[in-house]
Amino acid sequence: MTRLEPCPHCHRHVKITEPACPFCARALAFADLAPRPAPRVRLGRAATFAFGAIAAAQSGCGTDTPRKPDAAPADASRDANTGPDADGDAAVPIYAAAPTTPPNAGDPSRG
Amino acid sequence: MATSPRALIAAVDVRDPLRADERIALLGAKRPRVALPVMTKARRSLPLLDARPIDRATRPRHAVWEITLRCDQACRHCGSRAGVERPHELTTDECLDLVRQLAELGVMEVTLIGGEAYLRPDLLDLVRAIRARGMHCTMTTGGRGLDRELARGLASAGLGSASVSIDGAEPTHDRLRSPGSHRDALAAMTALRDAGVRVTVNTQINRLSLPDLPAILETLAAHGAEAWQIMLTVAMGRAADEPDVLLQPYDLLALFPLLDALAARCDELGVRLYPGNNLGYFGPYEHRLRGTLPRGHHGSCGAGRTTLGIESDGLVKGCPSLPSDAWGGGTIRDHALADLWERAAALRYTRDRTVDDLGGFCRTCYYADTCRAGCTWTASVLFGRPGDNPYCHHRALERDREGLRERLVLRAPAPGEPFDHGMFELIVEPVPRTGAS
Repeated sequence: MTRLEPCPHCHRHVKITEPACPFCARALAFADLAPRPAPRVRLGRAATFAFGAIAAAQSGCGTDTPRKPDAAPADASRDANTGPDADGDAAVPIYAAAPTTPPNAGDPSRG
Repeated sequence: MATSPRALIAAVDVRDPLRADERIALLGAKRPRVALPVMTKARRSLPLLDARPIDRATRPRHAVWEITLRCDQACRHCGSRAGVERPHELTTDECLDLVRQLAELGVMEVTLIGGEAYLRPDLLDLVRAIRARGMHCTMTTGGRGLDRELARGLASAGLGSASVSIDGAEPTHDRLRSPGSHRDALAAMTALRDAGVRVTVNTQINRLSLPDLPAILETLAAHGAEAWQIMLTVAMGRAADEPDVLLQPYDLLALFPLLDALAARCDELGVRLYPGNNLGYFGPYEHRLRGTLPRGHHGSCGAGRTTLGIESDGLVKGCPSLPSDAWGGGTIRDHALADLWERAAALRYTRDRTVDDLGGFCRTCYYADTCRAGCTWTASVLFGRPGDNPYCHHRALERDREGLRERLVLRAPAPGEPFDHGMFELIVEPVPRTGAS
């Protein structure tokens, strides 16, 4: 599975191997992207959703909000996250409660 | 000069997908069905397969557990047609043993749903048992009968948070749920918050509720909600009985710019916005809505990989929303939970799904290898099989670029059982010049 990152111009996600954005046709240069750091422990739902914000804050290059609007710096610092359990892409099943950060979320062993 | 989130919302052309006369007619429409359903079908009991290494390595982090199908409302978009309890719901002892098995399987969080979870008299015992096993416990509720006493009980039992369903401004919400239910839901939020339970809100997006989204956000923030989960109403159960209420796939073109503006307003209000799994995928706002996920974007369906669903009679599925008969792996009355998780074919589906399992637009999509048609449930209940999901912003944009749009037409109605669905036909047609829907 090829890593995807937002095009800096049109914000559509594109494969980092693309020389140009297939949606806006602008030239891309993802070659020097650093790998994304993978979570070292299993993440609960809230921690999964907050992962990017935490990574950004730890790297000192992100915003102080949980959502990062315009991609590049913090997104570029994370590695592809592989493995069935680490697949933090489906953190909010429908008909479930929206995740809040549990009181123990600061303890990574608890996720 | 920076533009305020409120101004951003106001600047979005929040086109009502309904004409004024259509909205009035839909708000006043009678229920298509009046009888409450009772599950009568025998459940399949397929033999279990041999567990493979990937099945032993895959562990759910989140279980969504319908502890009863009994409900004090009969919401007109309810996928499970909740109202009457199932004939053979789990006993308290069976539930407590299931809690043990969930913990041993590695589940980190359990969300209790219904029906209406608080109509089960042993609710607080279950919350306490989940917490005693070290798992986080949350709950989803319509809040109709959630009073201050129950809220205090939930708080003392250790409930981490409760998600109250708010599906529109008062007229829309009460039409979709029941008269007076909007007022009761807000009262439940206040009771929960006063008792010390963290409060979130979940909202279904359909043609009635879409224009209400900005007002819903202001209301939930004023009532202390910390987070807002949004998801599309899916054509299952009672929702399949009223197809005119469902969004059409091309309505996503109007929805997503609004979500982008709402996300900014959420930041301003301190409300965390969580898009449900059927809200996507990979349009120009994906980084805005899911940028904090480990990959920075949606991946694929988590049913049977990160998520586990349980029905109140012990049937185990990969996701709580999936239709019971096609996606039930078996019941905990016949098998250990770990065996169902590792060895039931219905739960292993997404572990094995590849691009070859996709069809239609999704099979040749630029994102096919990552997305794999997104939410299994959403596509399954439209066409009777997963793998081609027209509810996709990227897809709507690509169709629009070609001067086309996709429209769903109900061809066979749902039979009227819990978690049932009809059959839809997908029409690909030129975009009307006048923008008529």
